[in-house]
Amino acid sequence: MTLSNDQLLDELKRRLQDGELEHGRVQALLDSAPDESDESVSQFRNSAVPASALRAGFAEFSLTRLLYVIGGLLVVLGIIYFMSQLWADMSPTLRILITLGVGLVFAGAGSLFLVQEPEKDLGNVFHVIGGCLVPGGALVALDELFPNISSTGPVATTTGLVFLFYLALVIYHRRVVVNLFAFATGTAFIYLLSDSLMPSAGPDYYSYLTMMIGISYVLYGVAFSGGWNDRLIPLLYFFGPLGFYGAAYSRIANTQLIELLYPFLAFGGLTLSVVILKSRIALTICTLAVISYVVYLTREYFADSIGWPVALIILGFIVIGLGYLSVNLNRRYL
Amino acid sequence: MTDVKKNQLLIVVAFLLPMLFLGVVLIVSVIPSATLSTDYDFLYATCSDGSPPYSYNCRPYLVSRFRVENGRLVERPVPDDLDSDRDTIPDVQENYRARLFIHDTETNESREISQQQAEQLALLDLLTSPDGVAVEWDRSGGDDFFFIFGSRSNFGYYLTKGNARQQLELINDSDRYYYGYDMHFLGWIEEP
Repeated sequence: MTLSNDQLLDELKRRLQDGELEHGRVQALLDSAPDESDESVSQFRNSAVPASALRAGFAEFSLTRLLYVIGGLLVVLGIIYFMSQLWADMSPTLRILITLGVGLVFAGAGSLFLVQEPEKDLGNVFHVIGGCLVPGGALVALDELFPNISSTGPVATTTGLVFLFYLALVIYHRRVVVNLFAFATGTAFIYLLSDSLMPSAGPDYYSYLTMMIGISYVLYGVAFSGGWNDRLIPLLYFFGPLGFYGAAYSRIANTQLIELLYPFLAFGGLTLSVVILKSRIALTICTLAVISYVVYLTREYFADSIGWPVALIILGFIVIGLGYLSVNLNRRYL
Repeated sequence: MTDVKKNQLLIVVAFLLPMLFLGVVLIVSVIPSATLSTDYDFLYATCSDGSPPYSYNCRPYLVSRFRVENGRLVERPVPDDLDSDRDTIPDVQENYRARLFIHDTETNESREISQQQAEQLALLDLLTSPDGVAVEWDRSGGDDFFFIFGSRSNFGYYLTKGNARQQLELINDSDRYYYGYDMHFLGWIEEP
């Protein structure tokens, strides 16, 4: 059965709406269609619109975004500065209103803009401002309403509620900016929940938890590939491996199992970042993990026997070699 | 399995992974600690000079003053040259006030008793109770962790048995100040 163009577009629209097909895959298909792009370029060449106008249009678009970002930052800084000046004189109600209340108003306005003008970035900017105020505002509300709280439980619950709020926004809007705050609050929630349920948990527990969260981030990155939020992937591939190897390295001298597994994890990550993740950021972090292991081995087992000067020379050559390997992997496979 | 379903499955796994880890650790470590109990109460002593909240490091004073001999609490004279907090003032001139408490391990509450009452108790001069539980001073957290250094610590006394432990709510014991130096465990009470 051959579909007409209209039928094909209708079917495409339906599948995009139902989530059967991801926006990113369609975008990737459009980006990889050379004929069409050539055609569009030739159209531009042949059209009355000069290339300089096209560049100007692009520059204007970037400038608008830049102004949005700068404006948003100024608003957040202004609100924080204003609050800090008047904080001591404010009543508890006013404190809650100016933090949580204003944050929710900005988040609401952001959602409104995202629904009414989804192609513009104004909604994202409002959500960024709201996201900077809502989590802190929720904690201010908790502190003002229940001033005698000494345990982590209520703080964890409040953070969990903020996380659910952003999760609902993610499901509704499917936007990167709200997903970013969902990640931040969700991550904070799992640490606070751990502290409230296990107040005596030591650094071992938090190291392993951070390693799990690092793996989670990488899995999210893989799952987001080609989807509507694939702009989060570089961040996830940076913080995921960083958390994983950072936490593992913090235990390397204390836990024999980690000391034994660390080289396998580091070299495994190096392979994974090239073969599956295909990410330069992940490759860089994994290379640093391998280097950190070599530094640890040198410090722990060789520095005392061969002396630091010789150890440093050998270490330098090993680091150069690992850097060369990393650059080659990057050039060949990424 | 389509790519969309595969990605959705990955998101579910990524979401559940830290939660499952937390759940497993809870089951393995917290539940045994929560169920840790002993049939025996214990006697302990604390000391201060009456001006809280700072620590006095007067535990050596308690150790030298109170002992368990033949199953009974015995008071012994404190040596004249003993200076527990090393402030050059001998303990006998420090105005230390020692207090004695029975800790009910079932309710995790302490009750002060007089020295005469304490001397009537039948005590076991053992570190562990007959059912294998010990009282240990310990801390949690506070170790260097990744980029977070000097994180919050919980100091205090715990009931311990193997890896399981349960924090004790003792008098003159706080996880904020290092009161571990002002408490002296004297012994398990023989008759629960």
